[in-house]
Amino acid sequence: MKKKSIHNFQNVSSRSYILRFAILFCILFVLACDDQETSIEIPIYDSNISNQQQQKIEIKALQDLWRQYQRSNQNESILTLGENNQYIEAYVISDDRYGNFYKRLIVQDYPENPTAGIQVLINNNDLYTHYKVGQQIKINLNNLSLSQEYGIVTLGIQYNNELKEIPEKLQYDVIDRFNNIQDIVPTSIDIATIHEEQIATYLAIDHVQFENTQYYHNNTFAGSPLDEYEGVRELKSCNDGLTSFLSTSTYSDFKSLALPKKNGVLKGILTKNYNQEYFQWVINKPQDLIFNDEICTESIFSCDSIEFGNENDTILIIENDFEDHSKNTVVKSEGWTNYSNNPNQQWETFSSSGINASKGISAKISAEGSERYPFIAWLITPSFQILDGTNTILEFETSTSYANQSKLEVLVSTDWDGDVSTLETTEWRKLDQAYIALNENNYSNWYASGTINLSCLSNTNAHIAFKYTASDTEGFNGTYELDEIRIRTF
Amino acid sequence: MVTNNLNSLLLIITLLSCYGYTINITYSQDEQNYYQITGRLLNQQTHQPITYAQIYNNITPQNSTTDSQGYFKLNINSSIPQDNQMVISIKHLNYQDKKFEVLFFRDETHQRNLGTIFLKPNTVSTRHQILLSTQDILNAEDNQDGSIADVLTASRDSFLQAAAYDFGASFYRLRGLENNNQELLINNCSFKSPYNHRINWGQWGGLNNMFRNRNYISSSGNNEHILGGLQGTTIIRSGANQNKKSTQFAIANSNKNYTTRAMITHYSGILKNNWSYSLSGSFRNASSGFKEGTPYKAWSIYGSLYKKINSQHQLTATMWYSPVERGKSTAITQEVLDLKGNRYNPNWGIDQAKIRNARTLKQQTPTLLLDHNWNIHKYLTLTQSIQLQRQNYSLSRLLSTGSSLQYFENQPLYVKQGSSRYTNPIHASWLPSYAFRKATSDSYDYEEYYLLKEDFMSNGQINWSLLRDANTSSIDRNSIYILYDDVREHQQFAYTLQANTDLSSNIKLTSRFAIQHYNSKHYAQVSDLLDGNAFLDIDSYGTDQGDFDAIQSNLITPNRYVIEGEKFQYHYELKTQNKKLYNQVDFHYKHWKAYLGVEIGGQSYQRKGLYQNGYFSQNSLGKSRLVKYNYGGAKVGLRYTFNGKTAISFSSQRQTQTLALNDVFVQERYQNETYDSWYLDNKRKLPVVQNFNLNYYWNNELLKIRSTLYHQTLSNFQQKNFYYSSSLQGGSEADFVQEVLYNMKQKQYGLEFGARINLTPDLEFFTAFGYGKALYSNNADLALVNDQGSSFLGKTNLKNYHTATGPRQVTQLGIKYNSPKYWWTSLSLSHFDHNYTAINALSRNPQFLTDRDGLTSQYNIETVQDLLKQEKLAPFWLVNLVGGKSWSFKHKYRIGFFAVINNLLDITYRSGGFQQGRYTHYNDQLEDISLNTPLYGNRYFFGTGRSYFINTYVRF
Repeated sequence: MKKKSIHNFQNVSSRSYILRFAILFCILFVLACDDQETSIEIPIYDSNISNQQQQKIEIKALQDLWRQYQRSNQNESILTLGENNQYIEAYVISDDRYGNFYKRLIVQDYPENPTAGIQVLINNNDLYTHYKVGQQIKINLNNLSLSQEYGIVTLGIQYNNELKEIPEKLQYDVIDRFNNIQDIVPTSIDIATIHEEQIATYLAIDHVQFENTQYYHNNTFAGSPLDEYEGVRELKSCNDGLTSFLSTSTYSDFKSLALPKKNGVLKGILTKNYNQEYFQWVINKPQDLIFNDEICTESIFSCDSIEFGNENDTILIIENDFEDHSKNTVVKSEGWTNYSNNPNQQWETFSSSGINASKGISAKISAEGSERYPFIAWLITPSFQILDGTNTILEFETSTSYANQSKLEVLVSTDWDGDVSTLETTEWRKLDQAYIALNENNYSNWYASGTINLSCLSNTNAHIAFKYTASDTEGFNGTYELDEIRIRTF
Repeated sequence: MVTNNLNSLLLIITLLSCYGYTINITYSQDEQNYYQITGRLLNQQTHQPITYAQIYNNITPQNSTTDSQGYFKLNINSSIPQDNQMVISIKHLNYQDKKFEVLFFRDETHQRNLGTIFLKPNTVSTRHQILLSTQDILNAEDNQDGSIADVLTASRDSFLQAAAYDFGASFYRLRGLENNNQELLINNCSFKSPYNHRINWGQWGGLNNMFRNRNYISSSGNNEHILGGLQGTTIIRSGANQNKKSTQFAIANSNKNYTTRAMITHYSGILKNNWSYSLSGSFRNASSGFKEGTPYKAWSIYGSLYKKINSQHQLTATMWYSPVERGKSTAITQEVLDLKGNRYNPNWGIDQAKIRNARTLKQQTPTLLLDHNWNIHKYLTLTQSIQLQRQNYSLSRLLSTGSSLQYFENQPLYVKQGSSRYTNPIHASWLPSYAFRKATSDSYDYEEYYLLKEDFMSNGQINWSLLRDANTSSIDRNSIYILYDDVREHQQFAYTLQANTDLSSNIKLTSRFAIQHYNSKHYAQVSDLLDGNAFLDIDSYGTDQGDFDAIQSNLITPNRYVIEGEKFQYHYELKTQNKKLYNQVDFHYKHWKAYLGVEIGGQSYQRKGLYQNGYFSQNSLGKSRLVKYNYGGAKVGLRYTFNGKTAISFSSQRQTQTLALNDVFVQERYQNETYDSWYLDNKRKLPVVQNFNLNYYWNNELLKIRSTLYHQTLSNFQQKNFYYSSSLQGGSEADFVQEVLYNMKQKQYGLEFGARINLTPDLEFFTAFGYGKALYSNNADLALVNDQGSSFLGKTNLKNYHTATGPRQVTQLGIKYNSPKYWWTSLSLSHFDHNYTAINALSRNPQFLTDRDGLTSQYNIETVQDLLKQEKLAPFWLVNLVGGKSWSFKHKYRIGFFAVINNLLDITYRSGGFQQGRYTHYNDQLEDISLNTPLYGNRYFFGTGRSYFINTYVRF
């Protein structure tokens, strides 16, 4: 036993020698293996401002900054704010839970009576988990960039002269949340009073309804096979007769729901269409349509179809081709009524050649500069009577120049007494068989109305009216041209 | 001089085993340089004499062989050096080795009679049992993770040993087969699950000592009970009578699945009135295993009672219960590995300051076995066994498809908000490569890359608080994200009756009748609403289709909101009954041995739907028809032993296989349809397997060889895969699909070789080599199954692709030193090659090149060949080191330890992989492959890095 232990002892000492070598070797090995990765430095977005007092600015000021920049640099689509110590405070008004907003947060400056709204692009499709509607947030503007999308002044990050979303994980550096969650009170407006400053704010319009829901392609929010990315549906206000659009994403959960066939209040966010030509609305959820009233209907006038006989025997009852006017004068034809809610802006004549040619002297109307919201202009024929048993037809031609959401209708009344003060209280019925040039028609062409049968008006004193409904805001102040109005009997 | 050292008085024979019992024999003789050892060898189970066994000693090359009655006489003409005990080794091809230490003391006789020695037929060598019991259980528990080799094989056969311990690190599958080709009998009861034909090794975790008496019989070999699986049959005897009186405490430490294990085992030995009992209990625990965020908690209890009523009747009752709860890990891509390392596991995150794994497996399987042994006559033995088992198995998962139901103008409005990005930290959109998903990249992409990389490096785990935030801010606070369990509860009853008859001294008849009843319940159950109020039980993916009946999980309770503890999604019951009869005749002559076994049986299956699923409203509720199949098979074996050194054997087996319960119904979660309707005459063709084995054995004191040639064919097989493909219908559709390959054929053939070279009794070299092919051998039919039903896409070009069954070329070289001073060590070097990733079958279907309009896509033939080439994984080497030592105190206590270090060099290697099914159309794959890092490239299983296991024990 003793021998053994001595033997072991010798072994231990030599072993410890080996051990030391082994440890040394191991350390060298570890050091050698700890190869340091040589990394390339990549310029990185940094929102942190060190040792600087932050300065709050208003959203409106940010919008003004963008607009000024755009005016002076018309070719530029992006404004980089660069390093700065500014921030804005805002309240969240968009809600992406129903899938109708994607990677964007829309905010406005006050929970009630907002003066401006703005959009922030964030690369995250579940923003509701972090930002509740009505929540007050602070957006640090350092190194952010400005651009405009869907008519909305938009914050994001610039890359290659393009505005991109703030990367998901960086949003927490850019945006600070407050515990303050307010009720967002929508501002009540009418379609006619819509204006640019209301974009990206939370609004409500009353007495609206969907148009053309009887057609398959229009009866859902965005469920038609023709809807790509969004479904755009026409909304009409029964207050002023103007129409606007509701845009719904084809990724929203409610895209396949049928549109309500009633009338009521819509609460949503005002934007523009992709090409920024006209206003459209986006809602957070379908429940923001509170449609409980019966729809308002236009009364329609139409006679049975007509048998054309010997048209050479026609008698002109009324004709107006405006050729007796000189150009750029207010239309003043014998017996005709030219009236609008701004005495300084009425139907007037014009003449032009070239692409957007007139037909000699023609009449036109536009709301631009009228300062009326809405702006309504009438051009009404003299009273005429149709004899029983005769065939009477109406014909005219129209053209548009960027009509947008402005509207021209042709109406008939058998009750009107000729007094402009009773225009609104008189029953006017729409001649909806008449083709009137549309916004999407080629602006340089004139479009014939077709022959509209008036024969069933017999034995009454009738007036035909051309009623222009618009508003002096962009998108609602388009131009209509009118000419070659004839009423004939045969 | 030499004789002075041989002061022998006592002869101690110590079995170098965990049993640790000693036999003392005294004798007396005078000759100093002449020793004679005698004895007789008998088969421990049959008590038959063992012929041609080899008896060696460590002093001289002299050896001896047993005669026809099992007697041996070993003469040694040498002196025994000082400090050297004589070690007697007994070896036989078919039996476990045994070693005895023989001490001769002064003035004592040099002749020793060892008396009758019982050898165990080909079970695990005692020294390796401990090793086996840790490694294979560890592997078994990884089963569902894919990194597996639950080849519970153990024998002195060096190939099988290598397969069990070393090749397992790389998905190595015996004979290139799936692991559902194994059979396991414990006390003559089958433990192969009727549900999935897998063996749930986890239920024996921590009870290693109680299931140690194992015997592995290779494919179509003679196991005396059943026809057996193509990967062989493991036979375990467990019970109070399996050991002498002993007690053991053991503490183990590891960094693999668990960190600590404590285990106690006690055998009573034979008590008064011929009672015996045994008890075992253990506890295993880890806050995390080798992979991060894999907590492990398990305990086990075991008890067995044995009563020998008389020499005719013996009764055993055995029960065990081992609840396990552990967090799982998953396969990752090379990109993820490069960023996060091989311990990375995406399945967990910090929730309320605790590690929480979203894929937690819970399993409880109380089991009771009763068996009765009745020696009716010297030539007739009857055994009966009853098996009762319950199991509660659940695996948790995060669901991201929560929704809310609202009404707008009387129209239902389903609002769904979740995204699978937030439940999957390795979702493609989190990975840096996502920044370069477009063909061209700009500086924004580089920054995105950088940010994604930074974020993935610092996070990359489940953000539980984000899930909770989403739930609290959702509509009506309905849960968008929930944690739920897929639950399977089963009850199993089985009865087995076996009669062994000796028809003559050379002919033996074995008859075995077994009946098995299995009932299971399957359902999903909400386990955590994560701060939400309730979860709407519909298929929210389907809401866009506008059919609001179809999306219902259960039309009886449409649009139901469920809360924690409630069942949802699916709920059904399955049952199966199996009866089979096996008969075997054995012929046993001096040089010849032969056997012929025949099995016939029948199995019935039935599903009962408890939910009326919206997609299958006509065929989901209530009972399915009773599906019945008959099956049968036979095997034959022949062995010729030239002498104790050389033998050759041939065996073959052909059978129709029974179907696993989960292979009978097309969509068992939702409907009653069976696969029968896919076949002509409405009758499914059962799988047929056939194999041939040719073995060669060589065995002498220096060299021990086993070499096998095998060939197998499998036909009429089915294979199911689940994945999400966004390339359906020529790239125009995306859906979760269940891909079913049917009418499939496979073949495997190859060579297994194992050898041991004993240079001295202390020093051993061992080697193993396996080479083979495992191939698809026909172009199977492919069908895709989803909510809308099944679509049949026809032949799929699988022929000659490799099946993903691990490396087909494995090589091992090893050296082992057994010191007579109770320590030993072994070092092995293993090489793995010819390992192929699993292919995606849909990409091999004509669909791959078919556009949406049904016309063939524009393609380049070389590109197609390139895209469809099967990936061969890189070969690699692994080094494993094992060693142990034990000390004895007062001849009563034995303290010891052993340690295993796997992957000593800490090599990172791909143990397996698969082609993702996301893009299964040419155009999509082409686009993906053209990126620097394909978004949906092959995913891999990466081997464990350096891991260790140390076990310390005290035995008395």
